[in-house]
Amino acid sequence: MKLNHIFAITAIALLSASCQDFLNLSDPNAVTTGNYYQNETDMQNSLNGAYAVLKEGNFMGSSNPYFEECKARMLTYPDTGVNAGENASFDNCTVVPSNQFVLSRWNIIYKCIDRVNVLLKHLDDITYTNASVRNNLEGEARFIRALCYYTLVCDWGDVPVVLSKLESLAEVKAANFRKPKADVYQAIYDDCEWVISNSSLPDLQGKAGVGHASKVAAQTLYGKALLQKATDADFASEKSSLCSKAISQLTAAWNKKPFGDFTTVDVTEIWDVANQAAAKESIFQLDFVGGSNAANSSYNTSFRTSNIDDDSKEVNAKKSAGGFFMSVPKAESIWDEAGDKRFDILMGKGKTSGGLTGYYTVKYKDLDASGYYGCNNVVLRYADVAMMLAEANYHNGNATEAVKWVNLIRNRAGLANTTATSGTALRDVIYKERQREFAYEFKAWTDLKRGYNASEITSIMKADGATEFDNADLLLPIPHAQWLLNPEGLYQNPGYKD
Amino acid sequence: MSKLLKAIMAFCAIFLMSFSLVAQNVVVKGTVVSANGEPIIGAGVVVKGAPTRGVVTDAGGQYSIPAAKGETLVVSCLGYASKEVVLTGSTRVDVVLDEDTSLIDETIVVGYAPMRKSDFTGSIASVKSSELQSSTATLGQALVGRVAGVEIRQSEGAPGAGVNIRVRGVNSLTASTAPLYVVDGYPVADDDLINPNDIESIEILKDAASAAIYGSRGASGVVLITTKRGNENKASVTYDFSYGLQELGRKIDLLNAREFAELYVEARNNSYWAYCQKGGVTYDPRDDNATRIAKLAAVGINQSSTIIVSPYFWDFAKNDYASTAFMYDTDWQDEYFSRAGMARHNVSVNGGSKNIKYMASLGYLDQDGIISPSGHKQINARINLDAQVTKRLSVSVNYAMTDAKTREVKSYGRSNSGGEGSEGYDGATQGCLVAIPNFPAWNTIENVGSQPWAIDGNSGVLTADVWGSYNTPGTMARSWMNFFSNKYDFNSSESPIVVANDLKINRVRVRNNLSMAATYEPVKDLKIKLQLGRMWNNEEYSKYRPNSIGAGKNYAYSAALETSNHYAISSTRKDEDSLGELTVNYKKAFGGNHRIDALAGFTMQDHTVNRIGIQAMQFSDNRIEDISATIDPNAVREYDVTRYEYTLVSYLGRLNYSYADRYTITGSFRADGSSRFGASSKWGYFPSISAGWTLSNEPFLKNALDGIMTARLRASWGMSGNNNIGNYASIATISTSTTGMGGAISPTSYESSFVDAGLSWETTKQTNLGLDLGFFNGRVNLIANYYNSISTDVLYSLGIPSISGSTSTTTNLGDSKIRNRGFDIQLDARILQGPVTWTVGTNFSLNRNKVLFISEGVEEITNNTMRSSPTHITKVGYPIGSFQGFKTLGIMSQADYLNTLKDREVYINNGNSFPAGYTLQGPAVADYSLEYLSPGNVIYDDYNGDNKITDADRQIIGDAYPDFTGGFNTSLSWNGFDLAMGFTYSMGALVVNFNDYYAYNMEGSGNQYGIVRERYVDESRPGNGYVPRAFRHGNKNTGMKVCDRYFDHADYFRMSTASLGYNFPKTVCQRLKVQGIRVYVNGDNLFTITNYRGFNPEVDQYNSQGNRTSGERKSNGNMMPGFDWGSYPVARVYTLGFRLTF
Repeated sequence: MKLNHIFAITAIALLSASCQDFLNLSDPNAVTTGNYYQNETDMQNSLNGAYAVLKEGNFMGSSNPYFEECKARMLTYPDTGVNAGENASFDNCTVVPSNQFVLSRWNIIYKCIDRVNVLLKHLDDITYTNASVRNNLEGEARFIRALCYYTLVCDWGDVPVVLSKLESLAEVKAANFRKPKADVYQAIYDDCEWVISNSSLPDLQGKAGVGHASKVAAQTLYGKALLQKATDADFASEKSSLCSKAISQLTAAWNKKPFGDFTTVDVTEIWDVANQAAAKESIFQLDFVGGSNAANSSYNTSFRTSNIDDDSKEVNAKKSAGGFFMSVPKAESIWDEAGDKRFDILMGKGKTSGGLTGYYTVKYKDLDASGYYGCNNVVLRYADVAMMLAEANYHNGNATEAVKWVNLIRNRAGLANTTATSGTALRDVIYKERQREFAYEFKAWTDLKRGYNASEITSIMKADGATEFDNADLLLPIPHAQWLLNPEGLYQNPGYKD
Repeated sequence: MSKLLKAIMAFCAIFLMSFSLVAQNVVVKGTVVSANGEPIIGAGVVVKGAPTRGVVTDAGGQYSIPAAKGETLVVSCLGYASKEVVLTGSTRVDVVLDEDTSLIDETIVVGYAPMRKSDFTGSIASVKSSELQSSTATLGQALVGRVAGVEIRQSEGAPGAGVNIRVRGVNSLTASTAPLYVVDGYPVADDDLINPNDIESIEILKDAASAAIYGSRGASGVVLITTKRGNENKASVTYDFSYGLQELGRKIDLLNAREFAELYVEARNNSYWAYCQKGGVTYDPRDDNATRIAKLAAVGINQSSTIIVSPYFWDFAKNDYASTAFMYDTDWQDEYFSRAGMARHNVSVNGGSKNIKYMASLGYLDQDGIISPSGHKQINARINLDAQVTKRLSVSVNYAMTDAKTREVKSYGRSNSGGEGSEGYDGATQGCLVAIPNFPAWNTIENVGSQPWAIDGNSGVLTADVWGSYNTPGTMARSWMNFFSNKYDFNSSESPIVVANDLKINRVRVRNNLSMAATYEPVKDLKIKLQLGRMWNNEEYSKYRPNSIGAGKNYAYSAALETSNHYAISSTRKDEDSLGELTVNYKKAFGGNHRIDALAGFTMQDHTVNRIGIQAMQFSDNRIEDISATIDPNAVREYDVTRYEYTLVSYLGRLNYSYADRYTITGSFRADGSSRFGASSKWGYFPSISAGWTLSNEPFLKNALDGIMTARLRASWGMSGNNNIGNYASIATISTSTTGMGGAISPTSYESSFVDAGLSWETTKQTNLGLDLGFFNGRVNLIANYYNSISTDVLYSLGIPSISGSTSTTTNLGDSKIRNRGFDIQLDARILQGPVTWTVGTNFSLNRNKVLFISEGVEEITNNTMRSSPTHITKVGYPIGSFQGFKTLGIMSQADYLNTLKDREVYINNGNSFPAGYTLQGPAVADYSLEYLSPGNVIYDDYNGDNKITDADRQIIGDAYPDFTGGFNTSLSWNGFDLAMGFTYSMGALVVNFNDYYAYNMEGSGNQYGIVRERYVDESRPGNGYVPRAFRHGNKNTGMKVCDRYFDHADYFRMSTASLGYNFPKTVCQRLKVQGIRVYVNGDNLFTITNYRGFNPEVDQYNSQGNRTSGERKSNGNMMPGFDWGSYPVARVYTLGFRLTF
């Protein structure tokens, strides 16, 4: 062979070596996203990864009370100087854009949305044994995403809406602007609608499926989001139609209840750590497993006051206490009707210590000796459906129906029917009932905003001693660190200075 | 013009002639002219075989020399081919010298294919082997002070450690800015261990236009190394041997035993005084320890270790120093550093025939370090073969092997010991600085047995028999400071000689590189070259920390060491690199004046790394220094385990066109496809353009300037990249965890973090303007360059919108701008040539670094070096990693102190703040607590004028970059003797000497620098005005604030090399049947003039290329330059050697 030929062949061989394969290397130390999604287990684990974010401290875990109970002044976190006093600024109504808890909440919620979007992107990478498996994965993922946007829209109003995996920094930057609340609500409705219509998820998950979303969960969340929008003054023109839609979703949810007479469902049933997964009242819970640090929760330590008055109401094995408590006058002014089982059974009192006395909850009681607790976060339950039906009917002008629903809850708690029949008196009864029923369940601030308009809330907060409260406090500030990245698109909420 | 020049020339020639030697015999006269009849000025005319008889032609090209009939005149001049003329008896001999075309056509290595030197229009620094100091252990050291525009720092002196080479400043925040090395065409990350004797020449591509041919790897410059090759001559064998003696170049001024004891007692008493002020109790230095503690406890102040004085130092009964205090006066530097030998052998064989040429060499280096027992043994072997297979086909094969075994000493790091994996600890050099001179280095009969003060020091934990059991006469004294630290708050460092000797660190590096190239020339001037190569790199690292080294408050052999400080690490790293390269080169001159040189190529390179390490705890027997001896095999853990691969595919091209040797233009282009770049940015493109104009070849100047001056202007612009961006940084990976689902612990999986799929190289665009001037036929040469480079797309991990799922990611900051601009000048002159040659060369470099922009919303980045101190700041408008700290304004006098007390009144009465508009009476302080107020405190500059000293008062104090650096060299040779000297200097840089944190903290809890003698004692002894009072307690007003006191000027002037050699005359050699004999003496780093307080002003801890495990290399080292944390000092070396050529 002539030498020229040898060269020519070598040159061609070199050039034709597939450059693209040569350059596409994957990390041998880790599974890459690109080659991870191979089977149904990978998909399920990925879905679990999204659920796991819901349970993180900054989302629905230990920091959650700042954004609901503390904001509504149901709980206090005294300024001990910890975290530069940031913990105390929620019930003091002095939150500033640089608050680290606000930033962490923003970050974690979008992290959760991103995990959902990554899963949805890869959902069709594999073929399924059964099409329903795939659709249920999508359904659960969408439910999680809807829950994220519901939290975002309640806390901040307008927020960026991201419904697919952002692949590049350019895409990230392009999507990093606030969209109107209506768009956010629409995203929630679309996801809930999809779960209800397209998935084959069970109506309710039951014990084995605790922690997983279901159709009723989606209907309840749907109803909640409709109701939230209906009570927002910015959507006054749609109030009636939204209320009707809410009633229809909530009624559908109610009709699937696994019990007969709600008053026979014990108020403590869902708080029994051993049996709460199977509780009849349950719709959607964040599942925690005690006994090890692999999947445990810490609610009971967050809410336990120091020096418990009644040892039978001990809530955790280590007797460890957190910073949150419900002040004495507040607790006593809420539970001002004798015979309320929810107060007598589910609340405990701490002794005065360091000038502070407070009430705590027994809802998260778990005496597991390991110090790792399994008490769940009950996100949605039938009492909420009933109360929202009361709210929706009230806001829709159907006071009679509203009274019926609120009495259902009162009767179960051992209280007589309400004497209020209409108007603001009935409204006050409904929202006070919510405060009592859902105390320590991370709903207080959002509930308050459904019941009262801005000026009413200001009066309520001022009367409650929140001297620093102003309209700015109705929404959280856009976290400063994120605002910096797009001051125009992430325009700050009114009343906050960056 | 030309008349003036000629007049100057004539003067020079006469000057040069004055060196000519006395005549004998008949006088022969003549004129030396060039081919076109011009007289040649300054040509050497020498009688062959009698080098003492030589003259230089004058301004008319004339010479006269005494010579006899039959003798031969050798006429030579640079730029012309030498000519020999046999004297036939005529007294007039005119000589015509032809231009030396080989010289004009001298080629230069510029990447992928050599280029005519006269066609090269970029900026390059070129060093020939003959210019390299041959006695240094590494190539880098040999380059020190030789090249303009290239900063070569000997920041670490450990045997086997390399140097830092930085070309034209720092242009990245986090990616390595070490240049790319290309050894005989093979691009590698580094080649610290190459045998300097094998090197033929080194070229450093400085400007982006030259480096653009290396594309995404060229932004930090390219070091091209060409090794020696065979020639057509008959074989010659060269044997080199040298023996060197190394010693510590600079000893640091530290306190002696008496001075330390004074400081110690004073610091404890001053702290006692301070607490007495706070408690409102009477201070009396004669109070014994029990009284001190009790007096303060009575007023609620619980202090002990900082206010009491060990009986070893102070005898309260006598009210004087205890007799034990001055039992020893150990000079720890003398104990720690020693003279160390270094032997080198080199054998090389060089030769060949017309068709086969070969060069083979074998080198052996055995170098001990100046810190015993560190040492380095290295074998280098190289075989370069060139074969002309057919008329059109040539083949070459290169093989190089390095085998280096290094016993390391843990020099750098904090002197305190750290736990397993805490690699930043056990720093023996800092340990040497703080080692207390009043303690012994070695055990003698006197200090063994029961020692009450020692046992007292350890609060009864240590019993006399335990103490005695390991303190046997003749052994190293162990753990004195460790057990004094327990009760008396000394630094808890182990003896530096114990750490150096007992901490066993070994590293073995083996590199094999095989490279084969075939060049085929199908038609004349067209060369097709195929190169294939592979390199194997293996590294084994092992470390054993026995329990004979104390740690913290735990003394040697104590049981507490077992849980964290008795461990072994063993790790191996295996690299494999493969290269395939096809280039086509076409050179053609046509039409008389046109010349083109074209290059096109395709390359592929693949690199894999596989690193596996394990770590184990608890060993029963220190004699087995290996991980296998762990008593708990189940506790063996992973250490530094990883595996990665990166690939690069490139297309490159270069076209050079020159017209009439006057105008030259070069364009180059490279496309790099890299596995490291993100999926959406796999390919990068790097163009460059450059042009040159040889002014002096213009017809209107050529005749006027001929022989007098050449002048050339160059301009270039190019783009190059830095691809040191990590390997899989653009690939999203999955992490796993657990959560509760369905009542059970269930697995979760999720994308670990958002990755930037568009991740790519950093880009540097550089413009270079150059001027080359030659005078007197090249006897004086000046190369000057001005450059301006802007780096963008800087890699950094910055905050990103949370909607991405992450809050930060590593990305290219597109808008970022880092500028380096400056100039470098190289001036070389052959002052004398002929029988005596004398050359001088000097270079000067100036670079200014500035961060012009980081990113939207990011003004500055601060970096903590050690002890959570934000010493460095990267801020828009300042150089990368500038130093920040407090400025000091002096020392608080008694009057200042009293004024501060008045301020304190106001401050406290106003509810711990000053009323608005209040004017301080005394200096501003950080804290008004009484125990922190004292005369002798430092006065800090209240920069923001808020009447308080807070972190906001920190200012930018300077930076680690020299204002300018340079070097100069000279060599003189005569009659077989040669003398060479090299000097290097650097001005304007600062170093943060963080050893100050311990050795200049005024505590007296470890030894201190001599400067501490100048401290404030009282009003009558105020010291030098900036060294504060001694204190042991944490004084918030003075304490450990990083201030200008800790930033040292690192200016230096160093005699880097000196050598004197003698080549035996041919006659002697012939008698001895050898071709040549050379003997020489060399000196390296003979002296350094500097005011730097540490060992080495060139220190740069985080950028050292020295011995480090991967965990110890800081990715953001660029932002923390000039940091001294106990690096291995650089040695002074005296070498004696000879060279035999057969």
